[in-house]
Amino acid sequence: MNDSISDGISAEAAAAPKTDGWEPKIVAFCCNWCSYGGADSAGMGRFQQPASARIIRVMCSGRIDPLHVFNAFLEGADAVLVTGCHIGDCHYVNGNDKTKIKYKYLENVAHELGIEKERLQLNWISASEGEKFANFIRDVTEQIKKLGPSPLKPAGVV
Amino acid sequence: MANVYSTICPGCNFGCGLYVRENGKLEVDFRKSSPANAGKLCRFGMNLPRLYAPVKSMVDGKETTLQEAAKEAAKRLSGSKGSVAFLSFGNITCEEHLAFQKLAESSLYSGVDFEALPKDTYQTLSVGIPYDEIEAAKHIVLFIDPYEQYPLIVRRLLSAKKKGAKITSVWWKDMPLADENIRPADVSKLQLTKDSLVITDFHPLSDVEQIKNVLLLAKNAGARITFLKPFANSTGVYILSKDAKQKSLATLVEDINKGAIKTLFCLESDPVDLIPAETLGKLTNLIVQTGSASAITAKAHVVIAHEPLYKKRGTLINSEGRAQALGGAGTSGLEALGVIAGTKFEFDSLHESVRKALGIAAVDEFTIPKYDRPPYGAIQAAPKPIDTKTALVSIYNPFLWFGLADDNDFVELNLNTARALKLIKGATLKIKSNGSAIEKRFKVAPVQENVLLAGRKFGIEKGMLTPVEISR
Amino acid sequence: MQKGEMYVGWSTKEDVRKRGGSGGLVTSMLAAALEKKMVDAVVVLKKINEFEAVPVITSDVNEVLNSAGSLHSVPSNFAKLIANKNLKVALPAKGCDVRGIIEQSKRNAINLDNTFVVGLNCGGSMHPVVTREMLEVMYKIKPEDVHGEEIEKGKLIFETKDGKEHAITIDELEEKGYGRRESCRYCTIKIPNNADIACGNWGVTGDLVGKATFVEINSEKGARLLQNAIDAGYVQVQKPDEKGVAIRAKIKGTMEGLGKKWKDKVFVPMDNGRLEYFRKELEHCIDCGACKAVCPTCSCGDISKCTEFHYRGDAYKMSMYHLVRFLHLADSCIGCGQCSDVCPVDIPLTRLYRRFANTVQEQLKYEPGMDQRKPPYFEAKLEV
Ligand SMILES: Cc1cc2nc3c(=O)[nH]c(=O)nc-3n(C[C@H](O)[C@H](O)[C@H](O)COP(=O)(O)OP(=O)(O)OC[C@H]3O[C@@H](n4cnc5c(N)ncnc54)[C@H](O)[C@@H]3O)c2cc1C
Ligand code: SF4
Ligand code: SF4
Ligand code: SF4
Ligand code: SF4
Ligand code: FES
Repeated sequence: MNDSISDGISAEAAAAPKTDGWEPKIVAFCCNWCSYGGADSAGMGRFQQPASARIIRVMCSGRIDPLHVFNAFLEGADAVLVTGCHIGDCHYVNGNDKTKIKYKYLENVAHELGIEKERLQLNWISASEGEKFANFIRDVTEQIKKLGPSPLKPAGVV
Repeated sequence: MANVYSTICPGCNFGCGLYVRENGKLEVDFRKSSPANAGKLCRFGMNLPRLYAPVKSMVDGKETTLQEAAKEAAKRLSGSKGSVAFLSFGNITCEEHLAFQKLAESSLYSGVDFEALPKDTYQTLSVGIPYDEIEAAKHIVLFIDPYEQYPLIVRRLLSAKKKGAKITSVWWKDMPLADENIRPADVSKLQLTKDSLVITDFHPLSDVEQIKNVLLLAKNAGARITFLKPFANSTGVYILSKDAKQKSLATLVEDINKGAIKTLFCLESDPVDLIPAETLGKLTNLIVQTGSASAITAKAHVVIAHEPLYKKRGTLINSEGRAQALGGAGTSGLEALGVIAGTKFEFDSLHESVRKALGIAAVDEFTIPKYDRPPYGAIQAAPKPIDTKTALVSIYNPFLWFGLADDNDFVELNLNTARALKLIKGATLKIKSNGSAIEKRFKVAPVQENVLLAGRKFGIEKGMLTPVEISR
Repeated sequence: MQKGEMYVGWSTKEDVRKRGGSGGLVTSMLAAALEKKMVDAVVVLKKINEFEAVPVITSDVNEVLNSAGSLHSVPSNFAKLIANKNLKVALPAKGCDVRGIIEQSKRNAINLDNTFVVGLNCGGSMHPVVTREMLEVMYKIKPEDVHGEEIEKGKLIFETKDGKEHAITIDELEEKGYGRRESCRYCTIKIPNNADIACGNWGVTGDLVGKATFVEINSEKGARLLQNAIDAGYVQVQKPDEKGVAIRAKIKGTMEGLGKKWKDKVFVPMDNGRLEYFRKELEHCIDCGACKAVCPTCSCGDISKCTEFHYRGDAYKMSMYHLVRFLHLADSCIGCGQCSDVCPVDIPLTRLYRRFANTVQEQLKYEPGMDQRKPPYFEAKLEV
C-alpha cells in the first residue's frame, strides 16, 4: 500500500512541492465486485479521468477497516474514498451495511479530528457506472486541489 | 489473595512509585499518591514485569540455595584476595550498599568516574534539585533527551513552561518542548544566567570532560545545576560513599585487562553491554548477586539470587535526594552479603546509619531531607570538540541500561541526510563502522544532519558516539 | 425485597458504623456476602492514609470490615482489577467503576452473574497529589494533619486532628484548578442505578445523618445482597421518609445539571484548528501505553490493533496508536478520567477522547456502561 501513496523520499521530494500543477493523491478503496468494476469501466470507456487516483482493490467494502483509511492519510494521501456496491447489492449480503456502520464512526472521528469532509468520502458505485466513478474522482480532485495538500502528509512525501 | 507491593521503579533514579501485584503473573498498578510521579510511569515502568525475570542461585551451572551460593562466593573471594573488584551501579537499597561497602573496602567500583572530577563537585554530582524547584525555574537548559532518557521529567518541564519558563535544549535533535534548540557542537552559543537551571546526567559512560564543562558553564553564570542518574539508588549510593574511594567502569575494564582483577563480584549490576566480551572472558570468577535474571546471570560462575527489588525492605534515594521506603519485607540480599563477609548485617542498625547519614528521624517520602549544597571551586575543563562528521549517537535510556529490548530497532536521521543519500522510504540505511556493517530502518526526525540517533545498541558501537559511514 | 425498593440502613457493628462513610452499610454488606459464601472474594481499599489506599482482592472478612470509610482522594479503578480473573466477587464501585465493569462484561472479561456490584453515589473524586497541594496552597494546612473530609452544601470540608474544620467552596477550588478531577466535574452518573444496588448519604435525614446509608435496590442480585446482610445480622434497615427520597432526587438533579454545565465549559466547540490542537496535545506522548492499560472499557491484552499497527519508527504526523484509540473509544469511552490520571506527560486524554465520544454517543444515542446494549459498532446494521 505504501507504494501507491508515496514514491519515497528520493529525487522527487528534493524539489519543493509546487502548488500550481500539483496533483493530489487520492486513495480509493474499491470492492472487487462493484466499484472496482466501475473504476475499470471508467478506464475502458472514454471518460476523462485525472491521474490522481490510487485504487486499492478489496474483496468487499466491508473489509475496509478505518485503520486502512488512517494509514492512507498518515502515509500522505490527500483524500481517501471508500466505495462499494449499492446497498442491497453487496456480494456478501450485508458487507456494505457494515461499511456504513464503520463509516459513520470514521466520518465522525475524522471530522472531529479536523480532517476536512472533502478528504474522506463514501460512494456506492456499481460495475457499470464507469462514468459515475470518473466524475466522482474528478470532483474530488477538484475539491482537493482547492484545499491543498493534506496536513497529515509526512515531511518529505509529496 | 494476591500480594501487592508498594514499590519504586528501578528503571532510573527518578524515584517513581508504583504497586506491583503478584497475580499468577506480575502486574503493574498505578500508585497515584506517589510524590515523584503522581503514579505515572514511563514505557519502562509499564514494562517492569519483564525486568523481574526470575533467577535462581547457581554454582557453576548447578542450582543451589542462596546460602550455599553465598558460601561458595565467599570461598572464591578469599581465594583471590587482592585481585577482586566489587561492582555496584546503584540498583540496591541504601542498607545493602552500606553492607556492600564494608565487604568491598578499597575495591568498590560504582562505575562513575568521581576520581577524575574535583572533590568539591561531589555533592553537586550526587544530590540533585527537587522537581518542585525545577518546575519553578525561569530558564531551564537541558543536556538530556527528557522523552527518551528520563521521561517523568517531561511533565515537570511542561509545568515549568506553563508557568513561564523558557526551555533551551542542547541536543542533536529538536525537542518538542524546547523554545530554543542548540546543537551540542554549538554549546558556546548557550546563554546562561543566574536564573538558569541546568539539567544533565551523570553515569558510568559520562564523558568527564563534558561533565566538567557543564559544571564550569553553570558556575560561571551562577546557574543551578542538577544531575539525573540512571540507577534506582544512584543518589543514595553516592551520598553514602562520599568518603569511600570509588572506581570507574573504565578503570575496571583496564584492571581486568591488565590482569590485576581476576574475580568480579557484581551486585544488582549487569555490565555485559558495557564491558567488552573479551575482557569479561579474562575473569577467573564472575560472581553475581541479583534479584532478576539478565545476560550476566547466564555468564556467571556463581549466582546468588536474592529477592527482586519490589520484595525488598530498604531505602532508596532519588535524584532529588528524596528518601523513599520500599514496601517489601525481604532482606535476603543482606543475608547473603553477611555470609560472604563472615558477619551478620542487621537491617535495623544499617537503617539507622542511613537515617543518620541523611540527618532524618524517619524516612518520609513527602519531606526531602536537607542537604548541604556547597559551591564548588574553579574547574579546568578541556572538552574535546564533539566530532560529528557522521556519528551514531547512542541515547542511553532505561531499556538500554537494563539490556531489555524495546520497539526501537531503527535510527533517527535528518530529512536532508535522507535526501542526500537518496534513501527510499520504508527501506534501510547501511551503517559502517570499523569494518562492521549493519542495515537499519530509519525514521526521519529533526535531527542534526549527519547524526544518527539510536535508543538501542546494534553491536557496532564504540562508546556513546561512534564515527560511522552511511549509505543507501 | 425487590428491585426499585429504597431503604435507609446501617451496620450493626458499632465500630464499622462509626468508621463508615455513612453508617458502614456497604462494608457490612460486603463482609456478610463473604461470610455467608455468596462470593469468594471482595475488593476493598486498604487505607494507608487519607490520600492513599491500595486496592486488594481479599477473602478475609476482617480485612473487609477494616475497609469502612470513603476516600475521596483515591480515584480507584476496579473494573480492570477484576477483569479476566474469573472471580465470584462483590465490590464497591463508583459510577465509573460500575460502567467499566459493565463494559468488561460485554467483552466477556467479567461475568456479571458472579459479580455483585455495590454502587456508591459519587459527587467526584480527587487526585491525591493535587489534593495535597491544594491543602497546602488553599487551606494552608499540612496534609498529615488531616483527619477526615466531607462535602456539604457545595463546600469541601477538611477536619484536622485538632478538631477544627476548614471549608472552601468547591467552585472556588475548581476555579483555581484544584478540587475534583476534571472528568468528575462533568460526570453525569451521580447515583449508580446501573449497579446491583446504589448506596450513598443523599436522602438520609434527621438524626441519622452521617450514621446511615440510603440504598436503592436496582436488581435481584442487589436484593439478595442486602437481604443476606440483614439475615446475617450485619445490617439493619428501615424505610426512608418521603422527605429523604425527595431530597435525594433533588440533589441528583442539581448535580446532573452542574455536570452538564461543566461539560459545556470544557467542551467548547472548535471550528478551526482541531487537527493542530490534537497534534499539539499528543506531541509529547512517549508511547508508554498506560492510557490503554488503565482504560476500564478496553479488554484487549498486550496485542491489540492500536499497538500492533503502531511502529515507533514511523514518522507520522499523528500516531496510529492514538488514531485507533480515538476511534475505538468513540463509542466506548465512559469518561472515567483514568487515562488522564496516568499519562506520564500530562496529556488531558479524557478531554481528547470525550471530544469524539460526545458526538458519536449522542448521535447514536448510546451510553456505554449503563446497560447491556452492545456498542453499535459491533452490530451488523445500524439502528438509531
Ligand atoms: C469518591 C466518592 C465520592 C462520593 N460522593 C458521594 C456523594 O456525593 N453523595 C453521596 O450520597 N454519596 C457519596 N459517596 C458515597 C458515600 O461516601 C458512602 O460511601 C456511601 O454513603 C456508603 O456509606 P457506607 O458507610 O455504607 O460505606 P462504607 O461502609 O464506609 O464502605 C465504603 C466502601 O467504599 C469503598 N471505597 C472507599 N473509597 C473508595 C473510592 N475512592 N473508590 C471506590 N471505592 C471506595 C471502601 O473500600 C468500602 O468498601 C461517595 C463515595 C466515594 C468513594
Ligand atoms: S524508568 Fe525512571 S522515569 Fe520511568 S517509571 Fe521508572 S523511575 Fe520513572
Ligand atoms: S468519573 Fe464520575 S463516578 Fe467516577 S469518580 Fe468521577 S464523579 Fe465519581
Ligand atoms: S478513554 Fe480514558 S476516560 Fe475514556 S473510558 Fe478509557 S480511561 Fe476512561
Ligand atoms: S499515557 Fe500518555 S504518554 Fe502514555 S501512551 Fe498514552 S498518551 Fe502517550
Ligand atoms: S462486495 Fe461490494 S460492498 Fe460488499
